[in-house]
Amino acid sequence: MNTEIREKIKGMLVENLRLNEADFDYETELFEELGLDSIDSLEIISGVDNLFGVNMNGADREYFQSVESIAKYVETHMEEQQ
Amino acid sequence: MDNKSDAPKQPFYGRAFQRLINAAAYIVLRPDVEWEDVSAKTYLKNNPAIFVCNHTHHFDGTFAGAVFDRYRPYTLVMRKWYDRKYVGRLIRLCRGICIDLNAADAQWYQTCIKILENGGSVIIFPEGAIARDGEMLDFKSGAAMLSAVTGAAIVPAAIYGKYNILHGHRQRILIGSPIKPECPENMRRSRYAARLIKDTEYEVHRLYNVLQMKYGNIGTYWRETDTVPDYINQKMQEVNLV
Repeated sequence: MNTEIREKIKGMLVENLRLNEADFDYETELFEELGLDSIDSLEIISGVDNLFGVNMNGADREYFQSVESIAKYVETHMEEQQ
Repeated sequence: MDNKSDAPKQPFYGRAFQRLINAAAYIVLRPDVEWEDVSAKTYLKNNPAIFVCNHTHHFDGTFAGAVFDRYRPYTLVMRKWYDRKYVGRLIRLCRGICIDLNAADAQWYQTCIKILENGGSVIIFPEGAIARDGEMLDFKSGAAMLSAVTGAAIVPAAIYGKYNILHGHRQRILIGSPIKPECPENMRRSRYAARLIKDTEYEVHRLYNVLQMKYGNIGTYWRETDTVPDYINQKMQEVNLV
């Protein structure tokens, strides 16, 4: 597990979506437990693109469920790019 | 931000083509443009803006593009139009930005942020479709999210009329005062955007009703009323309680 990627994603969510860092961990369901809206996924896609250069446009909803699922998507696509 | 989300460049022949379209729109549709707050013109000279209009007809994009042309706006266009062979080519020439409402698409959002950060403007029809049920549809909050993130003001505008070509009532638009975003420090931007888009929706309704009271019911919508509809008032109360 690449903790650095997960920490970056978490930090991005805290900064871009203004989430409280103490309210969630890597496994927390972002939409169901934190009540994120579909409009928040725009910021997630932009943030991931800015941080890692990975394009999440068109990704299935399941990849937006948690920090963990976003990180897995990023890891997979970073490997593909390399 | 990478190149794919950079603001699309308009070639010089695109600009020339757009001017022709604008001229045709002024001749054929005869826009009657009213500003509720004339000082907004000065504000818009030096600041980026998100023009938010109601959507009643396929001509709305062309019409609003012609009316706001001095601010060189980009217009959000649904993918089904953008991907068409000939129409899509013309839309791209005229500063169209593709939005796919059926997928997790943030490319339009990234592109619009880039445009607004560079001082540009965009036109958005936040209903996401033409209102075919006789009344304005609910506004989606993408425009407000852009405003919350970039600080660009939302400029509400109501389009009024049935696009009578060369005869009858002119196509009218009433432009309201810019709504500047003021997202509190401790508030989620998406929650603020939900509130802001309701304020904007309310404002577009109000502007529309001003036109309707001034010029009468000419059938832009089937179910027109003299006041802001109850369901909008109710939504405003709901949002303010959040």
